[in-house]
Amino acid sequence: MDLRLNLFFVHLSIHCQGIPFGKPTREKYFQFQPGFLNFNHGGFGATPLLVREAQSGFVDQQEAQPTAWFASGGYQKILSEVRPRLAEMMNANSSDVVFLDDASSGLNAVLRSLPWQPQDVMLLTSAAYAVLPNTGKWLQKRYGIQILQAEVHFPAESAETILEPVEQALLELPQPCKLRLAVFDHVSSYPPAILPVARLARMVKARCAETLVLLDGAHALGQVPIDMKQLAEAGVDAYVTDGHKWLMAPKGSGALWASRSIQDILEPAIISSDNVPTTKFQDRFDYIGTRDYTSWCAMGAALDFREMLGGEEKIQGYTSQLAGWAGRMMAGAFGTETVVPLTMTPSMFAVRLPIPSEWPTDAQQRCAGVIAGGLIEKYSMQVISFSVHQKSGNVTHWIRVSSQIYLEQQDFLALTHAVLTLRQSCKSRVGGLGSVVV
Amino acid sequence: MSSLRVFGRRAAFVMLAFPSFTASIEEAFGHPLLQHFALDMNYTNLNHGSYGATPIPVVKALRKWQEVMEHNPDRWFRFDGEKTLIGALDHVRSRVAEYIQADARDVVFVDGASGGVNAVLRSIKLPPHASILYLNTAYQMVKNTIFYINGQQQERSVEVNISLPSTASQILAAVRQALDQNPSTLLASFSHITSIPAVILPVKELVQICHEKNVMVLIDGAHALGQIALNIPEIGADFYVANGHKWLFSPKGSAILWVARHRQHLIHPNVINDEGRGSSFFQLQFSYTGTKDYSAFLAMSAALDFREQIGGDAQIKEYVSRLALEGGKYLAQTLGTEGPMISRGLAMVNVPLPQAALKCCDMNTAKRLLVKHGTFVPIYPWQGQCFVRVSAQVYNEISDFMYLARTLLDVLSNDCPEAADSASVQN
Repeated sequence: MDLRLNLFFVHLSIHCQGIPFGKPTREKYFQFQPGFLNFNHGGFGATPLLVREAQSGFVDQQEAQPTAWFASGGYQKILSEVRPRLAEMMNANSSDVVFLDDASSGLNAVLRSLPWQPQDVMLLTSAAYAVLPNTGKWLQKRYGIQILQAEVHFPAESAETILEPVEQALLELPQPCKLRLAVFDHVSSYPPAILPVARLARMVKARCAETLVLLDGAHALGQVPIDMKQLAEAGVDAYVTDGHKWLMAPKGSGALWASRSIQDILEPAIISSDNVPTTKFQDRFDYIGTRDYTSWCAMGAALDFREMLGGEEKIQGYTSQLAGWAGRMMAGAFGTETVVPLTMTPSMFAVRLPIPSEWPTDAQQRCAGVIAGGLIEKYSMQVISFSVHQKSGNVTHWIRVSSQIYLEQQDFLALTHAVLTLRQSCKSRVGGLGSVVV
Repeated sequence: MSSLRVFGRRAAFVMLAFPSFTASIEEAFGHPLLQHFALDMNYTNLNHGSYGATPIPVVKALRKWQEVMEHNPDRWFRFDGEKTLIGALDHVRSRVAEYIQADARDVVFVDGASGGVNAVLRSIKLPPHASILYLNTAYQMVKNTIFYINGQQQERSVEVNISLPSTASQILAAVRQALDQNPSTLLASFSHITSIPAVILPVKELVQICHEKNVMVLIDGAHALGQIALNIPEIGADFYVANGHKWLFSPKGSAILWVARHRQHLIHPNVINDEGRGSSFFQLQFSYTGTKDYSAFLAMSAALDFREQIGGDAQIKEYVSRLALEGGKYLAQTLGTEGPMISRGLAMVNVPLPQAALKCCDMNTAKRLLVKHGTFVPIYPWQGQCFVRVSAQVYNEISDFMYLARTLLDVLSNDCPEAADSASVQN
């Protein structure tokens, strides 16, 4: 059975019906529990049923002919069909792209492949996802490297807010430069923002020509355009991204792009039975033991799904417009602000919760908890709440909200109403009469 | 987390999987069991040892977990208790730990033997001149990882040659001698069951002689889980890795890593994340290594259920080991060779081919077997002879070995005519 042919006919029939984004898409293609509104797509993604079914088809192929699947070019043939499509989406050369389980695997692969020497420096920003400082700590213990963290402060008014601390950190580096690696988010997690990565890469290379630049694009693929050609010209040496987040491929999928100049030193997280010194870059990463490669294979079905819906412009156009509208609407309703301006907002945004800043710190904290907890318990709405320690020393509370093709304006209005209602049950003081147990 | 509810859910999966198994547990082994596997009708699987084969109810369980993951992803990944990854993992870990007679706190999941071996070997920071010892029979992945770790200092990779078949004392003597000659050895790796040829090594004794020299031991038990009786703590190694997808019947991507309590602080996963949860840092680190699909781990429970449903471990092992022996003998007889080489209790048998087959003793011949006759066995040279390694599983019968014999002779008659000729002369 040619699954791709079957999927194509299914696509055709559904495309002709033109399922609108929002609730109809949610009900048709996704498997959320009834009544649940997922405003945290950025967290763990969501896999459309069509894509999961394609993955199941690959599992069936694997089980029908296990030896052929693993030893006779079975899954590799599928990968060779998917890779050029992924590469095209990233404006990259197919030969420079390999598959990953997720961005974390790619970050680990790059970080742990480098020939670290004691006192070498790794530059991160304070917005880096936890995996980076955690792996960095391991490198510190193992190799005696130093981590340099550039403090970026939010809310940010412009890209300059991000660039300045990094520039400062680079200027303070002693020469000769011992900065071996600089890592930046393409789209940061907390708070969510599109970072000026090309400019950051150029800044690093201008200061230290030998430093490698790694971009953590976990949130990028499917949310913002990725132009590897442009990024490579700016000095980016490696780029990792997730498949399960904004590409809506199954959990356990992602991609790594590496410039030809560093491919030779990069090793995957697992050295396999086929990995010897002469093994090529793609072969080293494409086979990492007998395991389940169907998530990687199903990235093709995720691309099919997106094409069926109208392509990247249609999807990213919808999600980013919805996020822009929702961010403004919620900030207006709360009397607060979004964490970055529209120009830096992809399809997820963070808006400050309507908690009076004159309240005591602990009362504000508790209120944030009441709201986040209440959203899920009372309203079956999932957001992520987080706090920001401002330069001034104040702590502010925000929620990170993702838009998606399975959400619509109505949903964000309901979310706004829910937050405002929950906020009413917060008290400015804790203890004594009229206090709220949270 | 209510254990009663968890049990209820597991029972529900079992019932869904076996609608016709309400009363009878007796089930004939052999071809009747093929109905519970999704193997292609045109593929005679005599290579279970390489890639396994996942029973249909286990694949169903895998899919069920994948669906649960989509209902409320945040709850699944970030919380503990009912309907969460951590809760479900805890439950499966207990069952699997019980199966290997270990403490659940010492068991974590990895995605395969390759993943487990890499996690151990690449975690341990050995002092600059320390050597790592392994046998010539080590699986290539283990060797490659050791080579990678030792980089420019390959004098630290100590390979010990053993011949197979050998007695346990011969193997132990060779290793003892190597340890004496390489006093800087701090880590040794041994297969519990070697790959090609497939043979059981005396791991308990190997651990003892290594520990006498303060050498830590990693056992690559890729083939052990579900094929032979396994009491991992009793073996006494420092680290033990075992695949689930081979002989346990769990899906690809399911395996376990057992680490002795006092060594756990040395080990971290291949992907450092540190955002999981657990009763110890060791458990925390391995419980979550990124947003991945952990359903294969969870389906190990369904694999254990399946084994019980088709007759239980003792019956399974009895059938497959007997078939491997009988089938191996038949094959050797038909091919006119001496043998087979087989360890008692193993479901894999190594059968020598006629001498003339050495000329085509490779993957190409095996692939031709696959393309032309829809079956496959590893074909490999060993100590001047060409062997095939045949796996016997609960869905195999002696007629499969007969089929292999015919088809092997056919392929040999094309590629290595003298080999086929000598076989028929013997007959």
